[in-house]
Formats: sequence, structure tokens, C-alpha cells
Amino acid sequence: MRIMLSITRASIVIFLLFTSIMSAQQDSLKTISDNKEQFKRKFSFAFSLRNVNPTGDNFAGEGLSNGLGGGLGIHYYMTHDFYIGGALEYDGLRIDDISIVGPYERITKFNTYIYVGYEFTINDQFRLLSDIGYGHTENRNRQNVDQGGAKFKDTGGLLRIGTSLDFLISDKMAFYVGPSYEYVFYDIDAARSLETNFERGNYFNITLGIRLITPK
Amino acid sequence: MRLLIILVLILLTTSCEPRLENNVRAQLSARVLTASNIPIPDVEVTAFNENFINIDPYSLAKFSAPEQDFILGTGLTDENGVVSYVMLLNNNSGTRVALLADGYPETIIDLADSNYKEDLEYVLEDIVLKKSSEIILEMVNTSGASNSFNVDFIYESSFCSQFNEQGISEDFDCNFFNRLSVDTTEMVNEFEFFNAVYPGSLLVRYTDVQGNPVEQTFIISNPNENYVINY
Repeated sequence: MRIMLSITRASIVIFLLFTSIMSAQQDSLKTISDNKEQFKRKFSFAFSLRNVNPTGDNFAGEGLSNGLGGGLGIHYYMTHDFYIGGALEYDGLRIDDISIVGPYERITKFNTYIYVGYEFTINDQFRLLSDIGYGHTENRNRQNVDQGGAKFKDTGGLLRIGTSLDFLISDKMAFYVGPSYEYVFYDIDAARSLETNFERGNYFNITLGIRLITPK
Repeated sequence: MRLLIILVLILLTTSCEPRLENNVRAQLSARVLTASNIPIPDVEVTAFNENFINIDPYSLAKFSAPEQDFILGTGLTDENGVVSYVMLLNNNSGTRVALLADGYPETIIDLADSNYKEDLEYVLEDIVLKKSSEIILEMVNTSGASNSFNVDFIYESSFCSQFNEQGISEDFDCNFFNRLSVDTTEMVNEFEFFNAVYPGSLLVRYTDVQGNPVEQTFIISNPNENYVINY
């Protein structure tokens, strides 16, 4: 828990530092004409597909295979560039090595989190979004028929850092692609010899999506 | 109406889905030896949990043996006879461990989960596997006895339940008792026992023609044993 808090604090500090630096640089990046009236955004709805890659020196990185998933997100623009939001994500993963994770076959992973972010305008067509989120994750694990077909869950807290490059088709619609990194603090009660392997999980994701933006 | 029945069936099916314990990973480790303390490699050590929900376990069983339902963990022993693996848990009933090795009858050990729940380390002390022996015992009528009588046979059986208490496996119900009748009109009565294990012993008890109680012990040390008792 202490590690989780310190990582969360460190991530927030890094994020704020990063956004302040980028904000200072933003003026030089802006190529939008000062004379052009800016499109005022209210909400952004995101629909995405993603490739999920468990990584790291833990049960997820060593025992799970890559998977595919999808997600829904909505964020509200507090200012022209600063936003807050929430998202739901759903991923399908399979087991690579039952000697590391236990005898089950597949995982359906759900993420729910809230996030804050900042949007950097590169030019008329491209924008860079960067956000940090915190929430809950749930691995719904399932055995195959030969293993007994039983179900159980692994749950935990989720810290997520993501960024995306948006390509604007119009003021109200954009395609985006980008990486995100999830740091999961699992609530798994493990034998002492397994504790370090089951206390956390890391996931690196590549997301492809579409964003719909509503005006103010 | 049909739709309603289908919906109810779906709900019942999904609500009855078996569950293992959430957010738990235990570790099971054990060493498997012969009776002469030699490690046995390639023993399949499977932790499982019985499912008592099945109405007809033979048609609904989800594992090869109907009584072994949820696989909680499985692994093979190495050249030192040692196995260690991540294990899942089920709160609904006790954990059992099945040991399967070439040339040995299956051994089942019941684990006292309460001993391990605190630290989740299921460390089993040395588990001894014994091989099966087929015994043929002949009772030969050399005294001219004419009254039939009963003979008791007591031996260690492969149909043995072991119970693991505080990490130590203890024989729970391994001694097999068999009472058979000797037909004195036959010169030789032959008895066969297929579920004995060795090394072990066979105790034979009966009352002779003079009315004296007789006890005779045979050492079982081979896969096939032939013994003769003259009465």
C-alpha cells in the first residue's frame, strides 16, 4: 500500500511537471491562426481497440500471453486543453505458463478508472493527448473443462499513464493511436515465497481508436 | 413462456457456476520417495478439489476421474523427487492430492487445509509410495480337518487414504481386513489378493483343528508372492 501511494504521488508529480513544461512549449507549437475562431469542445467520446502486452518481472509478465481488448471513454474539457474523464476497458488474455499463475486457461480483464489529462495542439490536424488515471481492475479467470471449469477473480488498484496522437478529420471527429502503461497493485493474498510475483502486474498497451467531440 | 424458461435456465446455469477462492495463490511443495528413501522422478502430483454438486457425477464430471473435479495445481517431480507449484484454493471442501507414477498404485492424500491457510505454504513432508503386489496364498489340508472355518487376512492395501496433519502424511485407513472361509472338503484352497502393497506384510489369523488360535506373518517384498499354509 505504501509503495502504491508513493508511486501514485511520484507519477502525479512527474505528470504535472511534464504538463507544465509542455504547456510552456505549446505556444511555439501552435500553428493555428490567432485570427481563426477556435472550436470550443465540451465532451469527447472515445471508442478503441487495443493490443495488451503483459510485461515485467511478475506473474502477468511471465505467465500471461498478449491479448486484444477494447474500451470506451468519455472526457469533459474543463478548459480548452485540460480535461477529466472516465473509461471502461475490456481485454481478453490467455495463460502461457500455468506453473507461474496456477491452473486456469483464460482471463477477461476489466478496467474502470478516472483520469485527468492535457491536450497539446501540434497543428490544425494533429494533437497530442496525455493523461493519468487511477481506478480498479479485475481479472476474471476461468479454467477449461479439463481443469474443472471453475471461475475466480484477481482484483486490484490501477494506475494508468497514457498518451495518444490524434488525427482530426474534422472539429468533431478524430482517429487516434497511442501507447499506455498500466501498473496494477493486486490484492492477491499469496504464499510468502510467491508474494513478490503476485503483488503487482504491468501491462503495456497500444490503442487504436476513434474520438467524437461535442461542441460547447 | 418458452423464452422465460430459457432465461431461467440460463440464469440457473450461470448462477451455479463453480467458483474458486478469489485473490489467493498458495504454494504446494512435496518430496516423493520409495520405501527405501530413494527419490522418485516424474511423479504427477495433482492437487484437486472434489465437487459435491453433481447430481450424477459420472455424466457431469469435468475431470477424468469423477471424484477429482477442480484442478488446483499440478506438477511432476524432478530427479530429486521434489515438486513445487502455484496452487489455487477452494473454500467449499478440503484439498486432496493425488500422486500418479509408473508402476505404483494411485495414492490420495487428504490435506487439513486449516493447517496451511495462514501462510498458504502447503509443504508436505516426504511422501512414500509403495508398489502393488499380487499375492497367492494356498491353504492345504494336511490334518484331515473336516469342519470349515474362517481365516482373517490383514495387509496394507493400495486402497489407502492418507491424512496430512501439520505437513506430515499419516496412514488413515490403509490396513485391509479380509475374512474368508476355508472349505475343508477341498485339499487346497487358493486365495488371491490384488490390492496389497510392498514392502509390507500379510498377517493370517485362524483357529486350528485343535482349537488353538494361530497367527502367521508373511513378508511382502515382491510384485508377486506365493505362500502356503498347511493346516
